[in-house]
Amino acid sequence: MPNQRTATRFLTLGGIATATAIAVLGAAAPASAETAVEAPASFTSAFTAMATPDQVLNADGVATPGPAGATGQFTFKVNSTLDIICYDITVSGISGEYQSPAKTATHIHAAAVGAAGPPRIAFPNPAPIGDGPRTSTGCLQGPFTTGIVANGADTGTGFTLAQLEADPAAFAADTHTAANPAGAVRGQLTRVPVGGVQTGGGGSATAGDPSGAIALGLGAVTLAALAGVVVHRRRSAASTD
Amino acid sequence: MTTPAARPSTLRSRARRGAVVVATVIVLLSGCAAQQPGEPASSAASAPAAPPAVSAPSAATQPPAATQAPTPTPAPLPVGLPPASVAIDAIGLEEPLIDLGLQPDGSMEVPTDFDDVGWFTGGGRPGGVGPTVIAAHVDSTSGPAVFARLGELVPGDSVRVSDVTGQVFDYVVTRVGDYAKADFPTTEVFGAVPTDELRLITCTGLFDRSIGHYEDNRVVFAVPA
Repeated sequence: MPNQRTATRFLTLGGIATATAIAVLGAAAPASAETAVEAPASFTSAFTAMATPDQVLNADGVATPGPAGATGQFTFKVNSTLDIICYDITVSGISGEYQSPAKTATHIHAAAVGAAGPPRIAFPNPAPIGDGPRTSTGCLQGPFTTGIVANGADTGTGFTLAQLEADPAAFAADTHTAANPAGAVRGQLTRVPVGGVQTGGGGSATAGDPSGAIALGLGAVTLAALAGVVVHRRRSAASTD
Repeated sequence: MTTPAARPSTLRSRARRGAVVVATVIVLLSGCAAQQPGEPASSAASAPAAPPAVSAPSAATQPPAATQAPTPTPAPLPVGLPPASVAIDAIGLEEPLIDLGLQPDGSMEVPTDFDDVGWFTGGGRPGGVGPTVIAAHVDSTSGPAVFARLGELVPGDSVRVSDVTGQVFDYVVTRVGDYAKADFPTTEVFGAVPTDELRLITCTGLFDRSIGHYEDNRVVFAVPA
């Protein structure tokens, strides 16, 4: 009965119980872990990795290919000032459960091309588990932990996203499965542009209207109104850009 | 014809973020509670029994004792060669390509000459996997520029890209989209893909004179014809 009451109270208190559990367990954790956060207003860099089975290495750096035909598309947007990384991961052509000694099986490792290395960030595994495409998206804020302890410290300890920005080629993304615990797919990070592309001088926009043709017939009053819209939109852009 | 930045997906992405939060909580709970190195914390429900591995100093995983059934050795995906020119009959365009990299602020470098068309050297290449990204100005400070007519392209239009050896790669436009630069779809445009794809980018939307830039990008997506 006491157990039943306890269970009932946990169910009733729901969120409080969960929060308490996290607090209690968190105290035993090796370090404060990353937190899931909303996307920040801006990013300082972006990276992508085409992960394939042929690039997989085991812990000793020996080629250990994953299943033929598997692919992993990893794209990351980083705000290194806030130590936030937003991830957009799609994995296809793999089957079965994930498997890793880390707290999840989907990682960024400090590993240059052709070399093994420790995980620095553990991402939620792409879902759903099955034979179809699996996806995982969201944002994490450091400090990061992986659940792997080496030399007495979590391999995420001391890692910051500024290190990723400084040398992206020194990092690889991968995911590990029960069938391919060394990794089903792996790919090196490459830097890609962040934000939009500034491809206009405005010389064709002097009428103040993007469609051009309409502007030709506009009177002064309408133009003034349009100018008001532009000012408004400038304010919006300033707050998000 | 054009698709504004996908507002309807906001709810879905919120739902996804919610799922991530839940997943993270589960990870925290199971990872901290068990700390059993051989067990995948995030899929504990049906996790296979794994050998209790010691903490790996150099990698996250150790192969199990049993070897897997032999599988075909996967071959590396094709890389392709740098593109040298682009031709789009529908808008009467045929231009050589210059190299474009990244600017100090992390954004994509753009041609300094309003009549130049460039390609992002850190992306894909024709004949290889990944998006080949080509960009040019819609206008200069005084009038139309080399990509002034890019906005006329519609699905079904043809684009030809030649690599440095002269080999021609034919693409067909599949869709076009307008995106606010402040909410640019980096994954969709620059993210890795396992196939040969092409993106053509210029500016559109309102011109913000306070910063000297358009607010939106027009992106044309194409795949091998």
